[in-house]
Amino acid sequence: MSLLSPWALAWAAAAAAILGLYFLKPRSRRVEVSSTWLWQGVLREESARSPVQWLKRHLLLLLQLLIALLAMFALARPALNQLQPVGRTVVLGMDVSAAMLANDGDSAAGAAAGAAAPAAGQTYTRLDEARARALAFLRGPEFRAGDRVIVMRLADRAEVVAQGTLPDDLPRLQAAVGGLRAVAAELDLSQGLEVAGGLTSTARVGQLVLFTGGVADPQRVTRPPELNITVIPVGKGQADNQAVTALAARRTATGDLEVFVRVRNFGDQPVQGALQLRVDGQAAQPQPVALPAGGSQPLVLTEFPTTASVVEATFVRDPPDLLLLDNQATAAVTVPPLRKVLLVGGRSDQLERALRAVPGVELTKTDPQRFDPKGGYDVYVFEGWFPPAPPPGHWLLIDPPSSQSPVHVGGALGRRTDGAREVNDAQIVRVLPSPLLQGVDLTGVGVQEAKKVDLPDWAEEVVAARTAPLIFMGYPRPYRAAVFAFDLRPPTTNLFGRVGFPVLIANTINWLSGEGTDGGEQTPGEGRFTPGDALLIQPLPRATRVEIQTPARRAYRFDGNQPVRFVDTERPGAYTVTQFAGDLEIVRRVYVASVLRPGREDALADLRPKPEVAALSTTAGAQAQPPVFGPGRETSFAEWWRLLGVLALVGLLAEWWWFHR
Amino acid sequence: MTGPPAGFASPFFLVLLLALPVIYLLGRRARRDRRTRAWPASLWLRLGTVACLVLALAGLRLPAPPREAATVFVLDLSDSVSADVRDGAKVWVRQALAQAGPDDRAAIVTFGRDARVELPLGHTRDHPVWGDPPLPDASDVAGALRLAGSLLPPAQSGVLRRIVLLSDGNENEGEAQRSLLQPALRDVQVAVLALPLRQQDAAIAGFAVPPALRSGEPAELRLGLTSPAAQSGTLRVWAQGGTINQLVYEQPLDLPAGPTELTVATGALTEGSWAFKAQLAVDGDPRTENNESWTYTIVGPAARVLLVEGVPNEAGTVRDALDAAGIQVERMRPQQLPVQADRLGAFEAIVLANVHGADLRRDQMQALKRYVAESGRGLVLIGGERTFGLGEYADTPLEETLPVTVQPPEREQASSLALVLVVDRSGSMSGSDTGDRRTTRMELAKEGAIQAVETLKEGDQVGVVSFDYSPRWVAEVRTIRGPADVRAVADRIATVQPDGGTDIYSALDYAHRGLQQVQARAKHIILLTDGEQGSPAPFVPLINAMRRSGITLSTVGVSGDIGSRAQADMQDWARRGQGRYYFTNTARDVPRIMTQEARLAGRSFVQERDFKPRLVTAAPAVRGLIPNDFPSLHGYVRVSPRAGAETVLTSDQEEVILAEWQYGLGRSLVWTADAQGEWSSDWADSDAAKRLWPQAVRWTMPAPSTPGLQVAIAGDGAQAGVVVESFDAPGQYRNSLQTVADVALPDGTSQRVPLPQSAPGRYEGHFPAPTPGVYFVQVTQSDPQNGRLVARQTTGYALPHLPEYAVNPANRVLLERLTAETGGPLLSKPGDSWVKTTQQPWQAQPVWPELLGAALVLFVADVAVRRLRPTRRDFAFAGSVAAGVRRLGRRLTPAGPFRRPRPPWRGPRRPSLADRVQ
Repeated sequence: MSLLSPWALAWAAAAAAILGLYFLKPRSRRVEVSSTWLWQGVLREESARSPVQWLKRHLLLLLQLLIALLAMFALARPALNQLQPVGRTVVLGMDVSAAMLANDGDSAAGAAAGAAAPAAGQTYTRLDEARARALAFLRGPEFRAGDRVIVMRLADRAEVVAQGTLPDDLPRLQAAVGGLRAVAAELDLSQGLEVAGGLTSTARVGQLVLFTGGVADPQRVTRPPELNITVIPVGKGQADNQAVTALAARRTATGDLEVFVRVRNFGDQPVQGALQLRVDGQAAQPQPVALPAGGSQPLVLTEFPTTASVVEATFVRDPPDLLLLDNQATAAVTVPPLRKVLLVGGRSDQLERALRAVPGVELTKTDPQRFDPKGGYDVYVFEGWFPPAPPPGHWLLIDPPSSQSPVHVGGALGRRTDGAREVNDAQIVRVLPSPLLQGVDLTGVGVQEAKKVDLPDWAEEVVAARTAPLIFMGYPRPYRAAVFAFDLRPPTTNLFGRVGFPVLIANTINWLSGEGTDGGEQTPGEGRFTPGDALLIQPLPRATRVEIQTPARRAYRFDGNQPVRFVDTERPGAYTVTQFAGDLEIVRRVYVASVLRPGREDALADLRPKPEVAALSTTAGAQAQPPVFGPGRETSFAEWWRLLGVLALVGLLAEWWWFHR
Repeated sequence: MTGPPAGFASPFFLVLLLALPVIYLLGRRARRDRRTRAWPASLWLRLGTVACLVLALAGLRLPAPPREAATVFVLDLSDSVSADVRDGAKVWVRQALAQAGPDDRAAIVTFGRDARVELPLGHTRDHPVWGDPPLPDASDVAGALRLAGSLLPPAQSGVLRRIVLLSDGNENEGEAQRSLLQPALRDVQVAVLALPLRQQDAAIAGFAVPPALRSGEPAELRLGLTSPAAQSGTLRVWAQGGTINQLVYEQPLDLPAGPTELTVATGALTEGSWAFKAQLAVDGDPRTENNESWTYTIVGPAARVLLVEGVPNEAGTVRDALDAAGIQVERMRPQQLPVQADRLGAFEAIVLANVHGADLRRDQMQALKRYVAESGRGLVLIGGERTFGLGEYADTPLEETLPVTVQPPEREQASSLALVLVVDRSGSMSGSDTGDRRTTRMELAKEGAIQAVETLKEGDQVGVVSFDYSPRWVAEVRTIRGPADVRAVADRIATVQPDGGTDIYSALDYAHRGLQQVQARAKHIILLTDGEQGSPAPFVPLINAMRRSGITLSTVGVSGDIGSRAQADMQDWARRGQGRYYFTNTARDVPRIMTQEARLAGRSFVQERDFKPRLVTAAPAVRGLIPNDFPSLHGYVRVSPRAGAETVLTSDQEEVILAEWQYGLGRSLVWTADAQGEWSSDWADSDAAKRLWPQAVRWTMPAPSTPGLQVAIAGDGAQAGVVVESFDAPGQYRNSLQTVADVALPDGTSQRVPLPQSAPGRYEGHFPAPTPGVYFVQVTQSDPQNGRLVARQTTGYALPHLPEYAVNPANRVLLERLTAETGGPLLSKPGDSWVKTTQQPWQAQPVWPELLGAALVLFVADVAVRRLRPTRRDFAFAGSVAAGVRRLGRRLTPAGPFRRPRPPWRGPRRPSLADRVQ
């Protein structure tokens, strides 16, 4: 036996307190009469002679001490180390990936497993069959009392949804299996196997029973765990599925919208259907689509409204294919948001021109004497000067001043004599991957002088000289910041003359204001995320309100002065995020939760089971390892504080009765 | 596992609440009997005791902060963490396991390239034996966090869900910060133990070469080396192209502590794909994976350059130098310069050598401007006495393209100027080119002269001479002190009337003698005439005398009546007089010319002196040149650098000799001395010149590329993605093309990768690239209808070494961001892994220990009440003591601003009666 909370023995002080109370005489009103003298002596003599009387006289104290000690021990959580009978640990790996929504579930197999047959016209998915087979498996004869079952749902991640011991927890386990729902994601078999291997690594005998349609990327399984695996395939293994595997919208040089759609046939029969397009909710003319077996049809569509922001494409055919989820895709047409930038200083035309050239930037120029922190700008650019308090927005500091600076300037870098030779310790020696340098070639860029700045805790280096950073960026909170530790004007540096200079400035402004590094170009794939992942919105500093509208037309409203982590993103489609400054809309941006990931369409839409998945089975395969049935024993703790609690309750009742008897 | 928000774990124990009425009845009965002195306080205390005990037995759960922790220790066992640090981290984890609370559960995940479950979630308090390590050649923090998230109980379980990440933060696969957005990691607190930086080793930190070169061009390999201490080593570089695989560099090195930059030049490369391998050998280096590095370049066909010479064979040495460097040179006269973009596009760069502005038409200059700005090609302008300010480049499209303006530096503008306008007033000046009497040459000459005077600054001096057969002062030389002086001179000019013949020589001599008497730093004469000198005159001695007197001369010829011989004479006078020559058929140009000339007056466009050029910037054009060995130059045309231009060489007067800049998509470069004339007689045949000209011209050339095709390849150490942008013109996408990439792998095999279209004009695909080396990729686009080739481009992708072995500092910023985003702490002590401070929302927690403790306290109180039997007076006394203590506390609490603020949850203070009365 052991005590799980031994420190609780300090409650023995309660018993000591009770004992102490008994050393205090009860304060009674003393009234002396003659008869009391007579009987007092008789009673004292009699009680001294009888142990029962002594017990009777002190029973109250003893009961009280007993109650206190029982409570104390209960609080110390006594537990018995015991060997409990246990059997196998069986992990039921239930594939709930999107491919399990394919309508080729084998209803006959499901009925054989005890499930109700689907009504006429009702679809029967692979997941329906998997649930029926898993429930039948749980009721099956191979389990014995003491076997432990873990129900794990497998999709893009593995998650334990229930675990218990048979037969006690069977209802709970069945409920967990029955409650499984598919998610709009592909199957990451590698993680599922790793988690199952971990869950059974300490078991006496471990086994994974995998109910899956077999649609997964087997190449991701690099090192299967040493585990008995039984793969139970579900579904009829049909392949009649078509998917919209690509949808992207870009603007041409003339501003027209061009939409690219690819519909792919994963089946082994040619099919015909139609592609229905909706632009900002308005239906466009359907496009006929004829797909050869295993082939695809790309379409480039034009003549859309130039103001369009969301394009939806749906492939339809009669009868429908096996999986409807991948027949629809959404694309957003991004436009650079309007960002208000204040340039304080403006030592050179080149910087001003580069700032004005950033798409979506509205530039205002002022000087330090007229700087007003209440201007309501998104990004502040300071040249050689910084205000006494950081501005209420993201900031870029160029050539930090030696005093009144948000970063510590500890000297200067530049040409100096090092022994007999002249060196320039401001020269660039280190360039690190950074969003600021995307598309920027710093080859041949020279820095002749720079401020020697200590890299702050909040910052990460982008470009550095030998002993100090030259460009760095970070989150000093609550806003972002970037610092160029040198004057941009020649002859300090030749950066102005480089074709990459405007790109560097555009990247910096975009990163500061939370935009991508594409400068607002219509990059396909930008703003895409996986359904279910949180959508992180960094509102512009002047935003006071953020509204998010989901594909289900639900609207959410958030305070605009802090980042928004939006989690109601299970549904694929367009999420429109609008930022307001007061009642004025300042930014509208569309993010797309996309089921199919570019380049990985096969892992979800090709519904044919992969032979490598079935080959994972080790109990039925060439390296068969017969499972060991029957209970073993495993050390466990059995807490019994409740028994002590019940005894204490009985003691309380008894003591109360005895006191009032 | 997932409990309700509040409730009972064993509700059947609630039946024991039936004991409460029994206790009540027993207590009430005893009170009625008055045999005992049971107090109501005792009764209620006992009822409370039993109620607490029964609720504890029933397993009451109430919302409360998490009191149990489920912690997954995620341990970085990748190679970026040194072995001793990894062992120390394992010990740290074991110490943390030993300090877990009774209800805390722990799991262990190890990771490198992959992640492994070392220990599933449970109550294990020790982990003496560690399993197979993960693949150590990469760090996938995101994958490890995802796996750890899968091991944690659900978010609603009421357990503090925490991941303790032990890592140096140097991730090179996945994005850890982004993975926090996934559902499995939502509301999971990430605590971090930052592992120290791996012991630094000698490494090749960078290895680069221009990705595209031209045949005959040497490759300049830039190497970044790093060493933890000063030590010796050997650097070797191999070049591999076609069947060639040769060692091109082998030198012992003395590496200082820290980073070192080194440049290695190869010989001229032939057309094709070249891979370069660098190897740094250092004895005792603990890690050799980063001692090798790879890079590549694609060598295209030889460059073609158009050499335009103002004077035949003016730039013979330039041509020879370019020829010797493998650059194909085509020569042309200025007048032959094409204006069609496709014809100019056949050349990567154009060199203009001492070309006068008048020799180029405006459309030719416009074509040159577009050639640089829009086509991204190069322009090299070599000076001479026919160029820049001397060559009428001012305000032309050609000047816009250059990194300099033709204006000499401004530092002399402050000096005083004495200007004399010598204006022809012969009878022919009464003629009009338009037939309008108001626009006779005389009227326009007067207007031009007046405007010229108006451009002068305060302190300048001006005089006006008019001449026919004889000259006379219209306005003698006087100092401009204000608008009144300007007005006075203008009034005098307005009085000039045309009459008589033309004697230019006398007029010039007259003005010369007049100016000789004047004190000024710059003296200039502007001669304007529409006629010719009737009789021969000794102009050359006169002009030489003027030069000796410091007087410069510009000439302006008006009207087509002037013969070509006379034009040539005037041009010669201006050249000898170090001024400018203008000629116009339309007198309407006169005011503009005069104004411009007045602005330029007094500034010397030529500097003739012996000097050695000074190196300002180590630009590519002068790479490898040694400033001390520069031959002397003897003169140059004075120009001013533009903002944004890069001055590479200067004179001893710090005036531009060589300058360059980016203009639009292209580049231009100027050399203000001549190519092989008097000014550069010592320079022309020097080694410096032979090296300078090819480098300068190559710097201006665009990188070889396939029009309408952009190929970008990026890899992560496992695979490389190819993105192809295809367009007819920017923003005009080429769609529905069959696109494939043929990849030549480092092991000599090849692989064909289809690149399906993914967006308008965009084609994407990927190929496995896990081995360090160079992967050459040839992208081919063809029309699927007829198989016609649309575009083809060869490029490459170099994996220098696996990112895990790159020399990076520990990424503490990432680790701190992970903690900041999840509210987790930065850890130092193992026991802190179980600290329950969290911002997680409250969940239903079992509260039986608290209830049992409360029951015990109530029970002791009950016993005390019954033993001590306090009277009402005792309670009253206790109450007064408590009130006294409160009063004392208030008195000790400082008043005014030091008073403890009212807690916010109590809301605003209600106004007192006194407040309301006031």
